[in-house]
Amino acid sequence: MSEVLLSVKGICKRFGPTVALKDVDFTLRRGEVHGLIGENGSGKSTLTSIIAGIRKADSGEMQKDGAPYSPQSAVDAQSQGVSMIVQEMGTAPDITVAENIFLGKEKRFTRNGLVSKKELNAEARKVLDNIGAANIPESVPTFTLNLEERKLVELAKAMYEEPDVLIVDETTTALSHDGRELLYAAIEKMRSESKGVIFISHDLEELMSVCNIMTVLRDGDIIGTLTKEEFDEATIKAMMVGRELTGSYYRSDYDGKVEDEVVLRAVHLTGAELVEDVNFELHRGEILGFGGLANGGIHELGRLLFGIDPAIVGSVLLADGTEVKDASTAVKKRMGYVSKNRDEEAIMVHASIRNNIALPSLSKLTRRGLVAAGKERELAKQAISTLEVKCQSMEQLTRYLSGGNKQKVVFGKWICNESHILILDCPTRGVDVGVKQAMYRLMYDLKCAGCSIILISEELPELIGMSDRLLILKNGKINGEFIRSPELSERDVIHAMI
Amino acid sequence: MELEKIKRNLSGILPLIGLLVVFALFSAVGGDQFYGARNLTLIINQCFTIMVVAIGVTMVHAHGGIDFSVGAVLALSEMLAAMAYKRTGSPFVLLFVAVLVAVLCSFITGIITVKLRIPPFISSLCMQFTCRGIVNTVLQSKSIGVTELHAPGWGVRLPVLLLLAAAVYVILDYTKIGKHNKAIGENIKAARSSGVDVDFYRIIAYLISGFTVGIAAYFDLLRNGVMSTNVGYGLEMKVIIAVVLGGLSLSGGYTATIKSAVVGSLLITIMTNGLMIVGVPVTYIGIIQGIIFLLVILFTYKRDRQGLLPR
Repeated sequence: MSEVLLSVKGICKRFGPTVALKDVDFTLRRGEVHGLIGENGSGKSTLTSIIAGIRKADSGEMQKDGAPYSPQSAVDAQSQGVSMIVQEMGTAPDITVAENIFLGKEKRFTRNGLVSKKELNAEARKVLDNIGAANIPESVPTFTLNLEERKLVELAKAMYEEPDVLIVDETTTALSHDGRELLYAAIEKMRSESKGVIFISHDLEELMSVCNIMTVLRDGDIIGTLTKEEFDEATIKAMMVGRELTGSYYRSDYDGKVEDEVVLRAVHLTGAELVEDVNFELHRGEILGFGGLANGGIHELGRLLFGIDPAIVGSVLLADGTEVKDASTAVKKRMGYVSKNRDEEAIMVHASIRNNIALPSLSKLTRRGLVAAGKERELAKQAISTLEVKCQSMEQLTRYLSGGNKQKVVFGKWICNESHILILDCPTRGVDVGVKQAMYRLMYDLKCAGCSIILISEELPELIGMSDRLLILKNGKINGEFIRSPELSERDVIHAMI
Repeated sequence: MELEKIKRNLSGILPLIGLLVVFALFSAVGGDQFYGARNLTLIINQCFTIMVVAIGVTMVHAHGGIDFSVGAVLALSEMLAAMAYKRTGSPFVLLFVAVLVAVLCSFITGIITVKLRIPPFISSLCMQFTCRGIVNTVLQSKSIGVTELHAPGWGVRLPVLLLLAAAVYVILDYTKIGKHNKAIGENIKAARSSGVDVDFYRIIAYLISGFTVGIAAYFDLLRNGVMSTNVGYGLEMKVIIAVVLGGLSLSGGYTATIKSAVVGSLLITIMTNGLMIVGVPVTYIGIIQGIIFLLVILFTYKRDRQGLLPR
């Protein structure tokens, strides 16, 4: 076994009433790409944020290269050789890419009290090229980049530090195939230089291929550590949830049968960006998948269909002839939308579960101008129990829920409003296996009850596993249609994507 | 969980405790002068306008808006109402014009804010300057007297106050108007994608706010018996300090309650009055209010939210 690079002993951390980490021991050796996996709320992000100096542990100690290590801040951790790419956005939108990369380190480029933009940009160019991100411009404001490009900027920033320990938290969900390759290359470089990487992901397959050792967490406890030879999907999943997952992950039927009745029709739909002349029909009881690269227009299409963004040309028509022009029309016509950016666009984090769930249904709950408080509570209670939201009460603020449970609250909103057309944009993003399986089952149950679902996703297995029909968008146009079949493979679909 | 609960409950009753402390403090220091029936009547009179306006403005604060125009709108309402009364001799016309003008002004502020996407503090400042400018231009340094009208006593004003408070309480907690405005204050994107017509409901909030300003203008004019250029001067800040002292978050959302308006208005009035009785010069009181305002903001402002004055 190689030399210990970083060790963590007896770390405990509480957030108010919630115990996030219970007496955790963790060791990272040189040359390890150490995967951390566990359901939402299992403590992965908490552990890594403590190691990266973003949070402080309540108790316990850490050592790096045998010496005591207790970072006072993220910057302090960086100067001691620990860098992290965080799950949430870590770049400032209004400054340039180069400025972001060297944020807080402008001193290096300062001549007579002024920062030399030229040097800064030139150095940034080198740093970006080093990780292989040659297509990202260094002198543009960061907000002009898409999510994937911003993630790569963060990677460049972290690699520039030449850290001994690189922590990658849930980053690959934001990356396309090419972006992932760049990240994997950076990880491989770290490994070959006998440094250490801690890699967090919900994607088990990815972890199994990228990591050479894996630690499973559950409810703030370390359940076990497996070496590469011991990797086995079923074992790891069982360790994560503490029980055997029964039945198949996705739906198991393959008839792909839908009713003839058309519930929604997109006619020459064209948006301000990306989406161009999209035409399709959504049938009753159909799960219609939309796949493509991150910048292929699938997310923008979802927003157009729900009326959040206006169509420039064309329209979205419902069965009764209504044109969906804005989101309030969509909700009135019993449509529902699950946003890709949950905390920013789908829930009110400082509001209670009850207030979140009831929001779209307030019209339904109003009698003679007044909202029936009892009925509102009943509604919330029903949603919490059907979806098995783990919470203390319906009055709990949603910010205290784990990602998966927040997502259940979002689903609860639409189920309570009896939505019969659901537009789901990456509904299982950042959600753990247990919740994921529950979501898939729910989608299938809704389909069987006659609901129509538009499933937008960047994960091919999910699209192939769940859709009755799959449409692929490329550069905003439909570039392929696939009907549900057991023979449909990722390779066939990828062909239409790139 | 327990700690969380205690914290939440504590922040709920803190303004009340503050009210009691301030009251006790000035009772002790000011003695009979503070406690006297005359002074208490004065306090209640001073409080009435602030509280009526604060009750309505809570609707705007609920969706994360802010209104710096209420003082000037109050003045314009009073002036036009007084002029209309002089012409017709009807007190009903006076009431009608007062309310109509205030509602119209608020409506315009609302439209500018919502439809033209101007941040509310800018649009309401514009409204403030415009209204104040009209009043100064028309009145110059003259005043309009309506002394022949009797000011309604507490037999009328107290029920009006209770009715307004009750109405806004019900609107805020038991209607779509209130719940949607609070949702907009929490997260406008989430509200919009949940089907809330965010433009419509924000404008409704401005209309309710305008209505209460109109009511306040009516009673203020009758109590003073005369309309002059300094009417309503500084009212907007008093109202904003009041609701914040009462525990409302300026970023909007579910902390918006009618209690903030009621408790906060009493708090700010008693504090101002008490300081004067104790002998603090009037000019200092503004400074003290400013500092207290900043402190309260510092302690209550939720740092993880984006910006104090969103949108």
